[in-house]
Amino acid sequence: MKGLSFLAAGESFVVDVNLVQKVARKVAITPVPTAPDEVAGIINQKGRVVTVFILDELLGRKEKKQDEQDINAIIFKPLSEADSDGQIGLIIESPGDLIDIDDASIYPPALTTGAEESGCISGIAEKDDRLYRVLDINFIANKYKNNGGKNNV
Amino acid sequence: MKKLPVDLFLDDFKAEAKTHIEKIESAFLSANIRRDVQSVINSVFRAAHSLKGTASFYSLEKIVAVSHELESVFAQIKDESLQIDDNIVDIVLQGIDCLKDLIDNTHDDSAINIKQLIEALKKYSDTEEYEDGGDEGNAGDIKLPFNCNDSETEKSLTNAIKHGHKLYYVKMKFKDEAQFDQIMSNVMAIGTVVQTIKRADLLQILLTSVLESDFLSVALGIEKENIHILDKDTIFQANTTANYGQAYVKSSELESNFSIRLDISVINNLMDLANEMILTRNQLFSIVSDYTKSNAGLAPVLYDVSRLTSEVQERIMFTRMQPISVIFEKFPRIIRDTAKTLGKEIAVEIIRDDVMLDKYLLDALTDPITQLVKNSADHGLEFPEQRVAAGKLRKGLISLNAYMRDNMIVIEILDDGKGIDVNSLKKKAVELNIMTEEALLLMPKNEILNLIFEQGISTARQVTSLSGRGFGMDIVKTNIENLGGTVEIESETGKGTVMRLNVPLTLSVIRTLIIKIDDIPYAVPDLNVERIVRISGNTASKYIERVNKSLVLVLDGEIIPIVTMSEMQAKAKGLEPVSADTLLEQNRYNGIVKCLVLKTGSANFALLISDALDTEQVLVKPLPVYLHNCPCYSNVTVLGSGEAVTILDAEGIMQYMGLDEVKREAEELLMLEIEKEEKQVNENEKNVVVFNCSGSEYYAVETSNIARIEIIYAENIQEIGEEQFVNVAEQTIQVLRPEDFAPVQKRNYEREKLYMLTIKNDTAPIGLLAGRVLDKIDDVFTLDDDRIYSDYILGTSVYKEKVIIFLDTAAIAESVEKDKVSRKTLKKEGAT
Repeated sequence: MKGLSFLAAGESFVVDVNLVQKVARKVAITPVPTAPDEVAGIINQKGRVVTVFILDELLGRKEKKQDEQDINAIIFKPLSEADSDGQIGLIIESPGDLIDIDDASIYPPALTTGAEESGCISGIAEKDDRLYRVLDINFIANKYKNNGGKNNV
Repeated sequence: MKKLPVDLFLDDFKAEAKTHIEKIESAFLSANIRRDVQSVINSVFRAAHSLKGTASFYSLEKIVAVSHELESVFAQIKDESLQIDDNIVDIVLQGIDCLKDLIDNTHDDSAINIKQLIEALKKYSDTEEYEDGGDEGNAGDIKLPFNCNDSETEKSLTNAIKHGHKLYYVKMKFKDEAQFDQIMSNVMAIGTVVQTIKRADLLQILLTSVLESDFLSVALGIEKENIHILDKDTIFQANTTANYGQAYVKSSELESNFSIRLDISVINNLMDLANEMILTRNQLFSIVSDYTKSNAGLAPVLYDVSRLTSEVQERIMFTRMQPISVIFEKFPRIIRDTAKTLGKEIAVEIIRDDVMLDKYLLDALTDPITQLVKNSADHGLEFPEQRVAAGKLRKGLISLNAYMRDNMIVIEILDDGKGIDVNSLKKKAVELNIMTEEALLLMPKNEILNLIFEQGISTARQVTSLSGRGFGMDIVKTNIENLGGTVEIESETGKGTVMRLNVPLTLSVIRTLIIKIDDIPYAVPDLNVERIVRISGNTASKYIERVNKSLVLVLDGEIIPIVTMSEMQAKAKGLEPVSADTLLEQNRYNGIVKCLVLKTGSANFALLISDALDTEQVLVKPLPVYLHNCPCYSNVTVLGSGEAVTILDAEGIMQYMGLDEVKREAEELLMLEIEKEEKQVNENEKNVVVFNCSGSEYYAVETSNIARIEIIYAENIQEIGEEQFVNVAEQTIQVLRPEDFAPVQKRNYEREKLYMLTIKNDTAPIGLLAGRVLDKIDDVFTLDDDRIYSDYILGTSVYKEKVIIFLDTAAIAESVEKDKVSRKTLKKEGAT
């Protein structure tokens, strides 16, 4: 797997680079107050409206708020050309390098990881003596589809 | 196998051919009922001809053969040598169906047998009759097939005549393309071709030339009898006859002839690009705005760029719109077939079909409308015999109508049939346990009619292939409701039924008001915006009231529930609701609360906002699936500034927040108060005397409380103890200074001449001392008791920017009386 590594919530993560459309810097997020806590808001990406998630919240860690001025986000590719209401983005601290990961070197997530994490994190990858959490973006997209995750009304 | 280049275009051909066929079908059927048969047939003829042309390019022999025969039939009708009758319509429709089959099977059409059809068509397209050569002889009788009405033709004709040219009309048969080319080049060598019509094997040319007709015949190698000299009058005559069809040509023909087919994604892409262009424009503006002063030419150019970009964006938005005739024009054919199968006679009338709808809406409406029209044909209209027996025309009528009303698209399907049988509807409802008989007794007729939408209910005695199972109407209703619309039925037994679809104009492009709440922008559809109310203090006509935990706005006596974004947020996230007072405080900016009053189908409500910014046309985009937890938004959009914003859904908020309930509660609680206040509003209409006393303050006393106004002189005022009296007309009146009753400064009068307003009261007469009487005013005063408070004033009111203190004469009189009583008691006590 060719992965894009990035730093978020003070930890290293990696996602399949084939799913990434772009890394956007200084994005202007319009908050949506009634949305689930995990949703930072919506942004405009070339005429498409993308829902941006907060990784801290996704992983169940209510931590410090992002610096409002300088938000970086990974924008993921839409699932299909027709998918105009499901494209997502993720706020990150900073993007890292592209790394090659041998699929065999991905271990299942440790049992110690929290319940919230277990779905979002599909495994732990090791590369050059560093550990990366492998993020499962499709899991996130599906989890919050339609019912807003846990805030089911 | 490698695909032939021709094959690549075959799909285009198929799409184009289908358009042509649909056009032929609808136009041909409408020719029956139109007065301007000629122009309709013209367009049909042309469509058939282009179909033939393109098909021959792809060597689709069978399509060429069939369309050729159809074309010939149309040519006959056009020349009025054939009258349209039922047989012709049938055979032409067969031809059209055959063409449809052929087009669907372009790769292998061997299974389709066209021989019979061709023979049948040949009966009508007998070319013998068609050959008219020079029989017409004199030019005056010639019917010119040309349309000389456009300004260019007119200009070239007038020019030619001015230069001594003569007008000729050549009508002849030709064998092949080579001969045609030969003729055309000959003609062009000796004159100017104005127009040509080439159809089948007949060539018609309108040309001008300086040559006399004899020479022309020789020069062109054309028989003399094929050449007709025209004079100016003939042209004019032709023009006037052509005139009639002109309007039609302009409206429908140009539209379809000069149109191209586009995939919807192309338009959507353009739309996104246009939006980005606007963003870039905005960025450009902010960068160069500093230079507009130093460079004089820059500002107008920037203005143009701005205007053009906006216009481009708007135009692209409207390319998605199509007229509802796209749906309607299918029906004449469908109904004709339906009528045949049912053994009924049905005419279709289209009343209005020019309402423009968004493509999406159009697609969504096609099925429900088709279902309703079929229902009308099947269940609504009677058989010819029954109709005659009922004293109606044999032929039933289905009318289709579409128009706009209050931002809703109304589509009506009317029939003059037997109407809905209310009794059998009732019976069915009871049978299916949808309603009890008792409940039905109390139901008004229109509600009973609505039962037709219940699943399983059908008044049809028999299930036909078309309908009758009782699910159609249920589906129609669900579909329309999914679009946010409603279905209404009106039906009168024996007279007919009207089905009315009301569909909101949920265009992809809507005008919105952009608002901000806590620095977050939102868009609100313009059609939901009622007004914006600013509340600063509490005035009788508009104020905010707390009812239990909610806030309501009282606006001109109407109770409007208030909702805030923080309440919605709390509800969506399952948090504790915020208290009403906190909400009000949160939403007060510089002491002002801004309420955006929104209207929905059922009622109004107010949303507290920080600011209203601007109105903007926006392209509606679907709501991200991750925001579906709360029904407060209908869609999202991207503003001109590049921000992505949500579009608020007024109806959704109303329901989600249970505002109906809040309103009902508030009304119960507040109605009494409101009534009281309304009364007060009326009472506020006062006729008052305004006056000054020793200070600069203005006082007012209602005229009805004043007995009279007199001039008195300071020297005549006698002081007795602490009180002052004056003798007027042998009556001792106690004089009071209004300053004593209000928190104002009292000074001594410097002037001699003063006024006294004698107050009407039952006890001892009292008068108010005034320095100057200013005016008598008859107006509505809204009294405010916040500014100055005293037991003896009713309140203050602002009139022509001056604060007027309204004195409570009754209270003043009472206090004087009390003083007297207390003094008397004191005296008595002192005596004992």
